Amino acid sequence: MPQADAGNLRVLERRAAARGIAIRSVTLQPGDPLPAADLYQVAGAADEDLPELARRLAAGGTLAAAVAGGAVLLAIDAGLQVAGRTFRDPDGGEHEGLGLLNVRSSLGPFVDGPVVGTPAFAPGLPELAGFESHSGRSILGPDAVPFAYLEVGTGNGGEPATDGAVAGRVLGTYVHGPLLAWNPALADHLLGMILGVPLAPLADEPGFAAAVRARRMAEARATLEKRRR
Amino acid sequence: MTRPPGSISARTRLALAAGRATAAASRRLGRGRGATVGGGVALRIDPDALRRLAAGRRVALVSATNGKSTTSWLLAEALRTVGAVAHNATGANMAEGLVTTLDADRRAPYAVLETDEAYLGPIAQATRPRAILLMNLSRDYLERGVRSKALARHWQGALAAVTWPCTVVANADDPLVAWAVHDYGDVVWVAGGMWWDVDGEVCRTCRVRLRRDGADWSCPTCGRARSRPAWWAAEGRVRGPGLDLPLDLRLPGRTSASNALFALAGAAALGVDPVRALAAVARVDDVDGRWRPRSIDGRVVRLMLSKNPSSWSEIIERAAGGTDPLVVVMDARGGSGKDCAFLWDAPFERLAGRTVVAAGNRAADVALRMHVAGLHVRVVPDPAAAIRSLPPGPVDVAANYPAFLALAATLGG
Repeated sequence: MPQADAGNLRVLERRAAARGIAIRSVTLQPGDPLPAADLYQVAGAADEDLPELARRLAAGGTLAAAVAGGAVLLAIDAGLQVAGRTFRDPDGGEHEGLGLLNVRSSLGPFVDGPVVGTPAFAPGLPELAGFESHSGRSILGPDAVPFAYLEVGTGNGGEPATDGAVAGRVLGTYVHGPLLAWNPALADHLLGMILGVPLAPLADEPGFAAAVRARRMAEARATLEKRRR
Repeated sequence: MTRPPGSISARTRLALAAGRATAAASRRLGRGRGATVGGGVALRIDPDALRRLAAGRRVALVSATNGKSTTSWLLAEALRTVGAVAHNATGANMAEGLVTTLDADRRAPYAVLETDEAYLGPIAQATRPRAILLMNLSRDYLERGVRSKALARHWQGALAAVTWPCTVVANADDPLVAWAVHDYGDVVWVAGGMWWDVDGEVCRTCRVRLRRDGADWSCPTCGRARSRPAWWAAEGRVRGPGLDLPLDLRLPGRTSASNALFALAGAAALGVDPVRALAAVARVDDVDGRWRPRSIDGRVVRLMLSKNPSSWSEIIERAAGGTDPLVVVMDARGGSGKDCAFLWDAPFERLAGRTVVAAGNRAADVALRMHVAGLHVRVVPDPAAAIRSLPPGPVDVAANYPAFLALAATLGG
């Protein structure tokens, strides 16, 4: 699980523990059987590994069955691409995805930089702050809901700028960052999805995430402003 | 290659003179040490300058994501027991920097060239080394977009294009290095260690999880496995072909021991007696100022460079084994540190319960990571003030590259 996405699990563990809930996470390698879980994260992989990742995730239908049974899937970057209907390998070959998200993906120029946006799939979530680092481009099918509308960043690569896609309990995004460290309300939203009840905010947060968010969003907007001039 | 070192054409002489003038101007303008910009000018005038400058020397290349500076420093010391050595000690490790290094010391019969891992192919073709040391391939800065697997493919191609006698000294413990070296004939394996193994857990050919049994690894599908090392260290001794000597280094830590093993194996590949080489390697107590203790108002600072999850693992290991307070300084400057994402790939959970001081203009990122890992955090953005906020005594300071350079200047060299 490259590109700092393991941090998402550390954040979920921490924020669950602060509420007296224990979370156990396991990191899988190719070939490991998929265990039963309440949440699966499928994150970045080398572009050349996309077909193999899709093949393994599709094997036995375990992941699709788990999602159908109510598990949450957080699909980041490569995860987003293979969770869609189709995706492309670096040679341009088209492959069937898992079909869990109504998107078709391909590969374009590598982009990396800050992301600022508004979550599109759940009302009341604060602004999305993050960092993207990917070559994937995704076209949403009709009526598909994006993960976020973007003010800064490339995301899916279209106009107007959106990032990722959401369908029920499957959330796909290009945001690394790590996503849940910079967006603790989103982490709590995911925990609420797992537990089946919305969570009250944590009482005594030290404000580190708020400081990172404020600074990164200000930097991202300043960069955008400079580019426009 | 019958020309002695130092004899070059008029065009190359002109190119090198222009490069030196540019480097001097760059230094006068305070833009750094000038090695890269000066060498760049020389290469534009004579693209063949590196080949001409390397011709006739016994060259060793040292490449890795972690430890190439220290290892090339140790290898240079080992080779100095038999002759003069040109060495890019400032760490300018692309073709431009190597031109400057070799131009500055035309007559040295040996050259030890720390080589950027992404340029091994062209640099090997130009310098025709007798030995290439390949130590590890760990994930580097996320934001550079460089991937360790792409580097392994580059190394594989670089070795396939070697048409002259050349010994590759490779880390048997790093499966990605072993994959890159697999088809090469003349390999000396070193038990170089592997302390950050997330990137190496999968067979690059079969894409299945490797089996591990202690240091040994093997692929259950294709059967590729760890080669038996010719050089290894155990119980304070170094074992090599027909030798067993005490390994008593002045540089601390397990990575220094690993770097020393590579330097010894590299020196042996160039024909240096390992006993003399070891004596020289053991005496080294500093590498480009990195290990020099510095002090500020009674705080004795050990300044450590943290550049990727692998170096973080080393720093965390050291911190977990002691009780000295830890200051973590992260700066975003230029291209470095703009996202700090690699903090999230390092196992700070091992230090849960300890106190850390977060500093630098990315102090909030450090604080957030440490908080999630269960450490107690104080934020003191100014690095010198962060160090002074601790009681007098030893202090470990881990800094990313821009913060490291700034602090080294503040604390004196």
